[in-house]
Amino acid sequence: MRYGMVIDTSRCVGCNACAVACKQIHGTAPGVFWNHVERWEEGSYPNARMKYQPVMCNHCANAPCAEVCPVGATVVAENGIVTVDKERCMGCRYCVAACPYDARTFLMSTEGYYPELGIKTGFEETKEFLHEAGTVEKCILCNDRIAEGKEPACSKACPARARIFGDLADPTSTIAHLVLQHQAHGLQEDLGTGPSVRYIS
Amino acid sequence: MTTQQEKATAHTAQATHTKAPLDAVTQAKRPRFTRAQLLAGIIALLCLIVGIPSWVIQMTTVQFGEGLVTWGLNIDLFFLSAGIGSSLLAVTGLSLFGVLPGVYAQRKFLSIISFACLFVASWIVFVDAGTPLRVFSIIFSPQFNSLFVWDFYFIALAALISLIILFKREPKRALGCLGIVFGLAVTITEGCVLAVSVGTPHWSLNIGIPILFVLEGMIAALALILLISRVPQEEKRLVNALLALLAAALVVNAVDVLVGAYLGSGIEATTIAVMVVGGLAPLFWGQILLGLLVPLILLAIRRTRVSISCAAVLAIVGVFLGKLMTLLSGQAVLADGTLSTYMPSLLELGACVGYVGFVLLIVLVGMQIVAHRAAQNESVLVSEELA
Repeated sequence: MRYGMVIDTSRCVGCNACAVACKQIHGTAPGVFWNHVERWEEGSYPNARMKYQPVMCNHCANAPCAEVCPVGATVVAENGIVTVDKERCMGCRYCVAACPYDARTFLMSTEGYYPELGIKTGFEETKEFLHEAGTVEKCILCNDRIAEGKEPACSKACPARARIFGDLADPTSTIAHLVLQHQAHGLQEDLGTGPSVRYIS
Repeated sequence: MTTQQEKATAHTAQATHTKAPLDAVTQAKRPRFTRAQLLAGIIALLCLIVGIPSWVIQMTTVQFGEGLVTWGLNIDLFFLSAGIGSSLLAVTGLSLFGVLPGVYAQRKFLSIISFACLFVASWIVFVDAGTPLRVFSIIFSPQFNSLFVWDFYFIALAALISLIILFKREPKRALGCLGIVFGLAVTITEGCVLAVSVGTPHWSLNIGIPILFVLEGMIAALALILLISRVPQEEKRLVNALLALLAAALVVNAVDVLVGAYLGSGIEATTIAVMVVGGLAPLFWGQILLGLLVPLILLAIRRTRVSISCAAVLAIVGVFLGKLMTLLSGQAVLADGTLSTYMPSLLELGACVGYVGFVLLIVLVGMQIVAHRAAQNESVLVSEELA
């Protein structure tokens, strides 16, 4: 089993629904995005176009972040999801330096969105236990939702169906078909990281 | 009076008899602070007054520099401190083979500095970690596929070897061999810690980094020996060695820049542009001109005590700038092509001042312990002669 995602950039409209859904589910701190949409302009007027590319942790098969972690806090699970055990992470940030996708965030503070009020909102309080200052965090491909038989929040929220979640190791799955059919590529594959997030462009 | 009581009384009488001259000798030989040591002590104290609160705040509130930088000034000081400590150990180890008699005579002093630098390097890791208490996991549940773990253990072993050289009366060559091996292992591993980081093209594409780390460590170690030790009989050899190392570091830096510039485009080329003409240019040129070229010229043209001291100070400053430049240049360009910025916070600066004070304090305490032990040994010898 190897969970992954195919992202069809030609369908992405840059609405950031995935980024918002991720923040809503995981209650990440201000400024922290486990996934977001990069945008840039291509061509010149009158043939200019906006391009969008959703980016997140690539859940690499040969994850450099897991290889460099000195205390084994980052592991590649049997289902292919790369997770960080926040109870073990010592905050050395070696994994942040090793990740070629800048997908990891070192959490300096668990302060909420309204620090001037001195309190956290009810929503922030319910998600507080998921985060610990001084540790590194990243996309966990909503492994708790997957365990319940649901798909990750970002792919569920995508209005254009640009994100397809599934098991890359199952040849009968939609995602495996898409990878084969469109020769979906991973980001910086030449590094040998074996990303589980593939792009159709 | 029983036989046992008689024996005890005789023993007490003998002890009282020998204690008087022993006390007098110990009193006479008790180490005192020199003026330079007092000054260093005051500086250490002032640095620690700034440093300790900074460490406490940094460890309890997880605050680092400002900007999109993973590793900044703290890790720069870590690399510098570990580099100096391990390279000093390698040079001291070499002296045990009889090639540097002047350095051999100073081995205890150099071992104290080596131990202090290595100990403080470990302390920096502790302060810089987001959750400091979990650093002990490196001891209890290490993952040996991480070079960070190897680095940690090599530093610990190097510090241990420094201590053994310090307290052994006649350290053997085998110990010198271990000193050289583990001294070099620390700097090579630290270079490789960066070189295996595939997420940072400027580090992973640059095979010169481990070589540069060895060169920089040796430059700083030799410069420190020339600056603070009196080794007149070996000064010429050490200066020649420093000259060669500075030239080699200059070549490695030039190759790094030329190869990066040759690529023309991509993250590596952008990084080189940031280094040479962008935001990191002051650091880069500061290192090349002040830290490498000027000392090189000073040592090549005139070798007076003043010029050697100036060159040594500049070389150490150059190593500090060079390591900071290596760290920041690797993180200068993000995966999406945007440029990152970095400015050390006051807290980080305070913590770094504290590290300098901590090294000074350990060196001073170490010198007192060694002097005290020497005085004790001497007094025992005198009392044996008196007896």
